[in-house]
Amino acid sequence: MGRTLPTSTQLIRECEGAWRPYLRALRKEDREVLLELLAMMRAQSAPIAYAAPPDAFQLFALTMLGGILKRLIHLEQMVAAQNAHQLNGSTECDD
Amino acid sequence: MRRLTGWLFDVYAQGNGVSVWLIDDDGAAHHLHDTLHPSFFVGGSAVELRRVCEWITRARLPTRLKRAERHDAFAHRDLVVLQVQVLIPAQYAAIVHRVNNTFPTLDLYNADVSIAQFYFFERGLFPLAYCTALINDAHAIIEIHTDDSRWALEYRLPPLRCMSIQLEGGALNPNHGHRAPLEITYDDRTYVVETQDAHQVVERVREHLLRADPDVIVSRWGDSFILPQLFEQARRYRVPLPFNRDASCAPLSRPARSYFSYGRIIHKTMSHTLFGRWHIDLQNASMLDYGLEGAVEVARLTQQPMQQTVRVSTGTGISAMEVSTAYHKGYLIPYHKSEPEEFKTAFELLTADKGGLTYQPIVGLHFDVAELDFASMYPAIMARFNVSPETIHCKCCPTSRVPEIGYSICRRERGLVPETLAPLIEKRLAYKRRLKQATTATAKEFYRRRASAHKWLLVTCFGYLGYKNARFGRIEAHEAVTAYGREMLLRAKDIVEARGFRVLHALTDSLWIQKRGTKEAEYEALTREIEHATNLPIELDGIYKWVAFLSSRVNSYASVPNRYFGAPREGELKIRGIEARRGDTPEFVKRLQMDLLAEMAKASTRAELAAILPRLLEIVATRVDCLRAGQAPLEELAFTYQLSREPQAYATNTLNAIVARELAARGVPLDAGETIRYVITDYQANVPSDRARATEFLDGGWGYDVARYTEIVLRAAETILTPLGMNGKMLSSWLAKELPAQHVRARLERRNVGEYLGPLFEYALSQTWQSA
Repeated sequence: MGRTLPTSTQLIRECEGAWRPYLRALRKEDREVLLELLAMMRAQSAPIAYAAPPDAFQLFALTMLGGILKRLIHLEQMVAAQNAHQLNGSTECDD
Repeated sequence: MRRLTGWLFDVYAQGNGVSVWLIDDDGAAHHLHDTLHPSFFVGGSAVELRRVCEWITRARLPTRLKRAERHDAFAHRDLVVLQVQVLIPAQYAAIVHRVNNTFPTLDLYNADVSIAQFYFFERGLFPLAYCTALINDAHAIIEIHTDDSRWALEYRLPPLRCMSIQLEGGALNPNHGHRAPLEITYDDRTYVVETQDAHQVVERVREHLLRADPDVIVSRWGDSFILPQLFEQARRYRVPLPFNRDASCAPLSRPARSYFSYGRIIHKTMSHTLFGRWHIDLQNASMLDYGLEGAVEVARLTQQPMQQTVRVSTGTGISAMEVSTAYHKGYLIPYHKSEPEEFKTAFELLTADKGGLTYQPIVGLHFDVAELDFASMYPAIMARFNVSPETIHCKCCPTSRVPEIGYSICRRERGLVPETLAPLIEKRLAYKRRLKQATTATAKEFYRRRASAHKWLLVTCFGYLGYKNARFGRIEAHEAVTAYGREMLLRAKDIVEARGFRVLHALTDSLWIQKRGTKEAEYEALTREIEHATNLPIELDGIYKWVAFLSSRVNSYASVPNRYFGAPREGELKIRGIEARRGDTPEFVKRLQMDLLAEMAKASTRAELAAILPRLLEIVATRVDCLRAGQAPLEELAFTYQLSREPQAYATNTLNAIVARELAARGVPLDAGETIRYVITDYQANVPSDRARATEFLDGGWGYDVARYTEIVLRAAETILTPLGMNGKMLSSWLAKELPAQHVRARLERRNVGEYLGPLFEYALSQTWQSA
């Protein structure tokens, strides 16, 4: 049906498959971390597909870095909100 | 000579011409005759065409030969071809076959258009068109025309006399061993043919057919079982069985076949079509969710006879519409076409060989969500941007380029595919508008079915565009459509993000967006802006109180598109990819999920959802209790499975393989693609055949496996409750043991100190639950 190359999801799956022995050998807590990194990659499958780089690994690495930064920003925001909460005594909750 | 008005009911080749059946306003059927001289064309060098002429002349085939010029849309030029006009329509297919076998290297055109289609094309007619015919005393048509239009939104249908034939317990498959008396219904009365004597059965069926003289016979398992059995007995006892209205010919039988399509094995049972009367087997009909009303619409639009329409896919329908357009434009219609993909560099392939964009959903429960949906996006792209196999890589319009991939596309001449699709898209939108305006449930259902028939035709047109063997398929056109699709989705994404929305999920032609407190007017402004930027129609498909996007079952870290459910502010729940949507899930499990979702749909906020959690658990407990008490009906516990191979080809002892082999051992012939139904009887049994039983061979001696079904029910409940903070472990610990429904509350209150029950449950316990 008009597709010759693997889709970005297939590329990600191949990449995960290649890392499976490494994942298996990791300690449980390290494996959990790596699984989260892989999930960050999957979450960006659409932009990876759109960019269609000849070597997808560069983008995979970038998506993981982006995911970590996003988590960092989220934590910073939570800390800032916590500080503001302590200063103002606000009780508003996010729904 | 006299004038006759009525609906065009059936057309087929007969004798030296065609038989035409009209049904008049009083419901009377008229058998008329007309002439038809369909042509096919042969392409090749002048020498080769001369050889064909000489061979046809020597063979004394009933044809008229002519040199003709016709347009080859793929080659972008007119070709000199040999026109072979067949004088006896009934011999058309045989003559094509002989020419093709004798000259296999030559190109044939218009060679597999059916006689009915030729007749419709030549006379400007279509099935169920209201026609006026001028006929002579011998019932020969002098002239026939219609003022009816395929594009009419409202049209009258003939007063058809219907008869239904099925075995008692119609849903059970007689090919898998089910036996029961024959039920025949017409004129609001049901007659049961109780006798075991086959001769008597045939005689009774004959009496009913003669008495009722139906226009339509609707059956269950008629194609694969009832009709072949009756025909066999009729032959045996030499009883003429008047299934056909036209007594001069026998019903047309086609053998069963299995084929591979879109990664699945499909099985088509044998079929029996009638002449002068329709036979529609509900078990062998491709009517998807649009029923007979939709099938009538498809038959009219695609100009395929009704009995064929209900037995082929909508893809065949859209292909027939393209054939019709090509015929009227005078284009050559390729026969056995194979258009290979053009050569591309690796970089070009990387750029062009992509599908639609899929933004993975953000897993979890989201509130205040809206879904925007490009209406029939890919067909609309083909129509708006003139994407068609013959318009791609246009030499006369080098500056008109497809975004991202840069193919040139013709702007001067309307393509064949856009010309076919544009009125179809318009008609679907018109039906959708009427659906919105409809005030009664009947009217709503009527327009929903019509719009759905259009939807399925439009859905398949994209696949056919990318299929190199499709008559009007070309991979580059397919790539152009997805390129436009990606560009338009990105434009829409940019616009919604600029307006402060968060994109939760996007899938090819739809976006799930979220911004708290958005008013309807803002959504309207948003859709207008997107339409302006993309030149494609986009609709606000729904505003949801909440939507839950689920993670993958295999990998809980991964989100998966198309596995979600949501409660709209108005209308029905939207459910995708969960057990309740799957065709193989037992009814008992589906009902559990639907009951849970119906309860959840009453809640609008996180707090309201938390408040109903105990009620949800009660629903699950009630189901588990029902299972444990042995009260679940076996019929509701049946799994439905489509065989991916023949029974003996299964290497492992899966339940599907065990049941398939059991059926085969009992003499039930099974092909790949056929459907089996079974109940799990003892999942852990040492003897494989005790693990599950085909529904047709379940007797009072068999029960169901309570433990296994409890597991399945809890897993289905987990799917729904996970977004609320409940996981399978929690559910099992509360419900999998000996928990009657009324004890849920007590069990919740007895939870272990420090046991974490998930965020929503914690909230529920701290608020509503404890205050209750």
